[in-house]
Amino acid sequence: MDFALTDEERDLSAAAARLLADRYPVERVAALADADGVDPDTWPHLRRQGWCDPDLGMVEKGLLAQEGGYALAATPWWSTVGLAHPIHRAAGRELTPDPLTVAWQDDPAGGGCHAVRQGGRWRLTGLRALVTDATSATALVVAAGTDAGLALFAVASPADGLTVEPQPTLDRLRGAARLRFADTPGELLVAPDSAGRILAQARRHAGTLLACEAVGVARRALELARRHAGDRVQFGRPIGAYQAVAHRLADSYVTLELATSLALRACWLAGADDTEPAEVAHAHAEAVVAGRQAAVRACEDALQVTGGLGATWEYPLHWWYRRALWLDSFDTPTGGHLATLADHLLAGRPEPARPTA
Amino acid sequence: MRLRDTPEEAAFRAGLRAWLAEHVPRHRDAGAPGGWTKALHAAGYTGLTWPAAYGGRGLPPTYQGIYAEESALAEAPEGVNVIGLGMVGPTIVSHGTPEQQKRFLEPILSGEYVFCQGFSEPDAGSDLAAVRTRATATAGGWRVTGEKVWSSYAHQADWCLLLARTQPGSTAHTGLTCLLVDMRSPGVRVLPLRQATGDSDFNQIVLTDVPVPRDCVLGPVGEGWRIAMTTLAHERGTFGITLTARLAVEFDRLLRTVHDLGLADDPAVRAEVAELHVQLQGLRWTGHRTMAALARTGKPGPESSILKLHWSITNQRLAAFALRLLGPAAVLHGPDSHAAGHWQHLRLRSRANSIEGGTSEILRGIIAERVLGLPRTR
Repeated sequence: MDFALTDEERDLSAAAARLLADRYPVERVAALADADGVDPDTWPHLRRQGWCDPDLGMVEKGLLAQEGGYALAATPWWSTVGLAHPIHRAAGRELTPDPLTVAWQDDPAGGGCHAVRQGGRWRLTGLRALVTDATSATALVVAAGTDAGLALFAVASPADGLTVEPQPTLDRLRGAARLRFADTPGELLVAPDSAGRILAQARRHAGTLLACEAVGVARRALELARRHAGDRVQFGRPIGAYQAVAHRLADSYVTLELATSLALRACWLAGADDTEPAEVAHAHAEAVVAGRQAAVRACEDALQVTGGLGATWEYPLHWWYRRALWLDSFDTPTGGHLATLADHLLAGRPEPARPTA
Repeated sequence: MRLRDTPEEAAFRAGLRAWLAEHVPRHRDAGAPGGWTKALHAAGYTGLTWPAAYGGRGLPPTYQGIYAEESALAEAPEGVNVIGLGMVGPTIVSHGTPEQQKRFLEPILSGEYVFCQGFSEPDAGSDLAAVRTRATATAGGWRVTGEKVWSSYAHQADWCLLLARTQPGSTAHTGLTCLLVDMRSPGVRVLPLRQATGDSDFNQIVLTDVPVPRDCVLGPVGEGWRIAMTTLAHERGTFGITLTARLAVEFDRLLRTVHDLGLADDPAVRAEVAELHVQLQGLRWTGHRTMAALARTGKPGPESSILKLHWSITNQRLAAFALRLLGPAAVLHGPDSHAAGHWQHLRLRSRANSIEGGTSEILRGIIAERVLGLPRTR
């Protein structure tokens, strides 16, 4: 057992952190969020640094996702590499560095999407909602019902009959969009016999990366709070010298470290070849639950420690908090992950504890 | 990064697991003091990471981690010489004279010498540097008078690693010296401390004019604080892994209680079980990360404080949850209670988890200052 990053992994992480620190100083994060939350200029830099390299391992992708969360990088990387690439790969497509996204969620107000075949061509009609990075994507993967069940389609963007409607969101740096399809041409990517499985795999792949992103968000919030606690003087001392403040941040750090361990482990298992599917699934659930807790907690602790400053629009912490809240809600609810774990833990009488190694 | 045992580690684990399965039942709750240590020694499981020159096996820390994990999972008795093997021995390896190494290390390994530790005092708990036990120079060495508390195994120990003030009038970290005290010396009295559970896991040691020969000073006179810190750093080495594996055993017991009480379909119970599992997994894998750091740097970083801190929180949470599951029957504590009163006992005992071996307040202070770089809070 050797649960430590290799030198190469450390280098990759450090290089990514340097690039993002250069591209996203705090003022720019706030400025982007105040505008439309989209930054097309950074994408070529990510491409050049290899963020879309099809050979990246899962641990490497997890480290990039951590740095993305730390910097709050306003790029469509997660939608592209996290969500869409696993589907393109399963469909036998070449992975290109074009920004992509996946549209599979129903509109909360109701209405799904279906596809019909007319004269040898598929046409999609209906709605998909909560689609991330839709305004940046040049191509979409769309889940649509067919007579034989759910299938996955490739749709260009823009395309005839496709309307992309940005939806106002809590986290302005990862906006949502409602997509309206009206006889929109699509190309079958994954047929109904395996579409459900492939989509679930892609969501898990993306979800594990979000657990890593959550770790990055928590780390940044703790860093902002830590710095403030060292600088801000009240009653003649830096507030970090008061135990009420210091101990809160120590607890935040504990939660962050536990989540880091579980996120890295989930990545390693997802990329390893000697794993049981159940082990990977449970590690994923554990990482997501712990990551969400760490991100929300670190941001809320940081909001308390930064006091009146943290309560203002100008102090940038709330942008990380908004991301933490997005992470806490996106896709499968925490209760669903806990239910998955409980099903496993409480199925049958337990054997005495044994490590998996 | 590799989250699996190497073939060598896997073989070691399998061999150890089989050995424990055979030997643990014979030794549990029975046997003379030191019997378990002697059995471990005969099988080659003591001094795993000690240098071969001192009778150890010279293995990397990972193996000590496997040993700690498997022993706890097998509910092996905690060796009466856990302090000698885990803390005092490594301190003598680092700071002892060649004569002390020759005299003490082999008997510690074999279980012949059982050690206890005399650090805490009635007025020196978290503030360990407030030690008042004084050692006065004599012709042949030192004469020691004072009182030590919370000393495990003192009633069975042959020797004690004692922290005493050798420089009259000195304060705090200066003027302290580590002494190796023969527990059979005249003037040593050991009295059991009775805890809130009713058990007596710890002792009080009263020392009255106890003679300590000069060759039993460990490290330089006046450098006792540094030596004691080495000892406590060793305590943190794989202790987090032991604690986490013990928590895993309690968690499995909790699952059995949930089934026995017919609560496996209760949604609130299921959610809390899953939450506790996530905390346990976080501890387990953070433990593996700290082991990897230990293997690289040779010493546990201050990050290892988080294991003890979060273990105590999680163990307390588990114990409280388990007792609540019993409902009104939780009030019984005797032959009529569920699982022979295990959860009642753990509920009481677990409150000391956030005190013993470094209070949670001290651990948070260590994290805040040494990991987060915040200003000193005192």
